[in-house]
Amino acid sequence: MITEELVEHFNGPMSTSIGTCNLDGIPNFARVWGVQIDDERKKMTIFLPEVVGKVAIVNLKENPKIAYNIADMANFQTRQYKGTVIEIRTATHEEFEIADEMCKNGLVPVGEFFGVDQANAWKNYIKTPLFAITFEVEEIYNQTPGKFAGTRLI
Amino acid sequence: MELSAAKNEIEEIKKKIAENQQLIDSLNEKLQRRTDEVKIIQSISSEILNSLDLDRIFQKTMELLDDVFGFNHSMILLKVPNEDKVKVSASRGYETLGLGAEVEFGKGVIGVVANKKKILRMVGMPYRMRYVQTVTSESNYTSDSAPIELPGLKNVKSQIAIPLLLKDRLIGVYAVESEQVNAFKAIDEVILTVVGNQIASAIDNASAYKTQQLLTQAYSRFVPKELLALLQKNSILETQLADQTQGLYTIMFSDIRDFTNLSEQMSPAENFEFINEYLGFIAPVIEQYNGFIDKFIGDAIMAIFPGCPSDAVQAGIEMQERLAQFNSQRIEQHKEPIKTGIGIHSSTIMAGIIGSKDRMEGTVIGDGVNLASRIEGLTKSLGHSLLISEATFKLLSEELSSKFEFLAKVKVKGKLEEVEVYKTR
Amino acid sequence: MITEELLPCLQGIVPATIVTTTKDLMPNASIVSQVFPVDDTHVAISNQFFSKTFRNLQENPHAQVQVQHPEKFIPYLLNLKLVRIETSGDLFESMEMQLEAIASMTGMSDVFKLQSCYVFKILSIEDFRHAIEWN
Repeated sequence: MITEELVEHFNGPMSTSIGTCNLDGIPNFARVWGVQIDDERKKMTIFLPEVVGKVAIVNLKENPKIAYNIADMANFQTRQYKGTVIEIRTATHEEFEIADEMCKNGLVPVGEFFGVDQANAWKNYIKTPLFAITFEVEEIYNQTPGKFAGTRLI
Repeated sequence: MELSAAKNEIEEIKKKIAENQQLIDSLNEKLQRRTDEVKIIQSISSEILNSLDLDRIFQKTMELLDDVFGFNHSMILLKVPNEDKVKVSASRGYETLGLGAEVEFGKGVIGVVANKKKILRMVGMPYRMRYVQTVTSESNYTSDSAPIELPGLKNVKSQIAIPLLLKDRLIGVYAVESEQVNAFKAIDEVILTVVGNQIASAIDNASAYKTQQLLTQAYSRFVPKELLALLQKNSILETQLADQTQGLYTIMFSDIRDFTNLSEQMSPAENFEFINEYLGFIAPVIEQYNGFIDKFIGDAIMAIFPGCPSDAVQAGIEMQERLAQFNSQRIEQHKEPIKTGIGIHSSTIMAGIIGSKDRMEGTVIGDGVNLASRIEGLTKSLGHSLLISEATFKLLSEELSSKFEFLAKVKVKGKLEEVEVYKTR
Repeated sequence: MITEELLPCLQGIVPATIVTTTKDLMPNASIVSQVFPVDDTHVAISNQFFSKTFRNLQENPHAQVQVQHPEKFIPYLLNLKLVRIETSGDLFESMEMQLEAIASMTGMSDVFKLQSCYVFKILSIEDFRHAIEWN
C-alpha cells in the first residue's frame, strides 16, 4: 500500500503529529516522532511521548481511528495517513533511536527558519517514556498546501 | 510543629510578594510604554501640526516614531493625484531608496493598505512568501503578472503600513520595515492609527498652504503684488470694490510708433512673438527701477513708480538703450527697426479696485494718469521719444535734471492750462 | 483568555496544526498557515481552498489547534468550537488584506482569494511547556 515514493518522503526534516478523538467527538493533537513501516507496507508504527500523549492514548482506547500528518519542514510536502490502531505498547530502545533521529533531522531547518534557541528547544522535546502506536493504513492523502491538497493518493 | 508551619507560611507569603512584585513590574512596564506612546502623540500634535513645511513634517514624524517605537526603516508615500498609486516622498534609514518610487494600489503591503485604507501588519514574510510559492507551484498555477519590485529592504521580514487618512480620503501611507522576523509585536495599532490621522491632517494643511502659495505666486503674475501692497492687502483674497489709496506716484506710458501698420504685416503668431520679445527687452527695466507694470494694452505699457520720480526717469532712459539693442537685433534679422515713445508724469494719484462685483480690476485713476498718457502721445508730434512733465522734472535730482531741457508748453486735451514738457538734451 | 504571551503564537510564523473530526469520529490533522486573534476569547482561520478540515467543522464544530511561540518555542493547545463563518466585515477584510499583500508580491493576486473565515470561541488553552526539557 505504501509506495517507495512515499517512504522516501519520510527521510527529510519532518514534523509529524497525530489526530485522535474521543467518543464525544472532541479532537486531540499530539506531536509524535519517527515512523516505521512493516514489510507488507500496510502498517505504520509511530512514536508518542507520554508527556504529551496521555489524552491521545485514552482516545485511541475508546476510538481506534487515527490521522497521522507528516510534513517536510523544508519544502512543505505533506501527507496524511488515516487508519485504525491495532497496538499500543512501550517503545523499545531501538525505536527510541528512530524517533530521536527524526528529531535530529529537523534541527537545521528549525534553526534556519526560527533561530538557534528554537533549534535547541526542538532538540529538547522529551521523548521518554515513549509509546509505540501501530495502525493499519486505510487512506493516504496529499496535503501539500495548494489546489490539490486533500487529494486522495491511495 | 508550629515552627515549621509558621516557616511554611512565611515561604508562602514570600512567594506571593515575589509574584506581586512581578505583576507590578509588568504593569509599570506597560504604563511606561503607554506613557511613551501618549507622549509621542502629543509631540506630533505640537511640533508637527504647527509646521507648514512638508519635509519637516515627514522627517520629524519618522524621527519621533523611531525614538519611541524603534522604527528605523520607514518611508512616507503620498497619493499621486488622479492615479491609483502612491509615491515615495521621504524615507529614513535606507541607504538607497528612490524618492519617487511608485507603488500601485493593491501591490504588496503598502499597495494593499493604500487600497483598503486600513492598517496592515505582516510578520514572518519569508515564511509566507515560501508558502505562497509552494502553493503556486503545487497547484501548477502560472502568474500572469510578474512578481513586482517594491521599494524597501531586500531582506524585509516584517512590515507595517498605516494609511494616512483625512476623513475618508487617502493622503498617503506610512510604511515601516524590519529585518526581524517578528517585529512590531508590542505595537498598539490603535495608537498608530491615530498618529496616522494626525500626520494626514498635517500633510493636508501643508499641502493646502503650499497650493495657496503657488496660487498667490501665480496671481501676482497677473495682478501686480505691488498694487496690492499699495492697497495694504496681503493677498488678492482681501481685495474688494472701493479699496483705494492715494499718493504721489509717477506714471509712465510707453508704446510703439505705427504699431498698427507693423501689426498688419505680421501673422497673429508673429504679432504675439514680436510683442513678447519686445516686452521681454523693455519690461524688466521697469522692475529694476522699482516700478511695476500696471497694464499692457497691446503694445503699450502703463507703469507705476510709487517711489521716487527719478526711478521712472532713469528707467525711461535705460528703456531707450535697450530699445537700441532690440533694434540692432532686428536689423541683423533683416527686419525694420521700431520707434517708441515714453511719457512720464508725477502727481497725486488714486490706486484702487474698480469694476463691478464679478469683474474687477486694480488700477490707478486721476488727472495725472491722463496727463502722462497725453505726454506720451506728444512724443510723436513733438518728435522726441522720451518726454517728461514739469512736475516730474522739478522732482528730479540735480544730476538727473541736468540731462533734460525745456521743450515746449503745450495744450493737451482735457486740461485747461498748458503743460510744460521736457526732453533729453 | 488570549494573553500577551500567546499573541506572538498567532502571527503565523510557526505553522499551526488543527485536528478536526467527522461526525463519525474520524479524525483529520491538517496544517494551517495562520490562526488569527479576533478578540480576547476568539480566533479565526482562513479558508482559501475549501478542504476536509472545513467540511469536518460543518459536521462537528470542535477542534484542537497547536500553536507555537516563535521565540520561546512553547507549544500551546487551543480547545476551540466553531461559532460562525464570515465572508465580509472587518475581520474578513483584515485577513483578506494579508493574503492580498503576499499574493500580489508573487504575482498571484488572482489565485489567492479568501473564501471565508472560520471564527472559533476558545474553550480553554493548555500550556505544553512541559513537553520540552528546558536548559
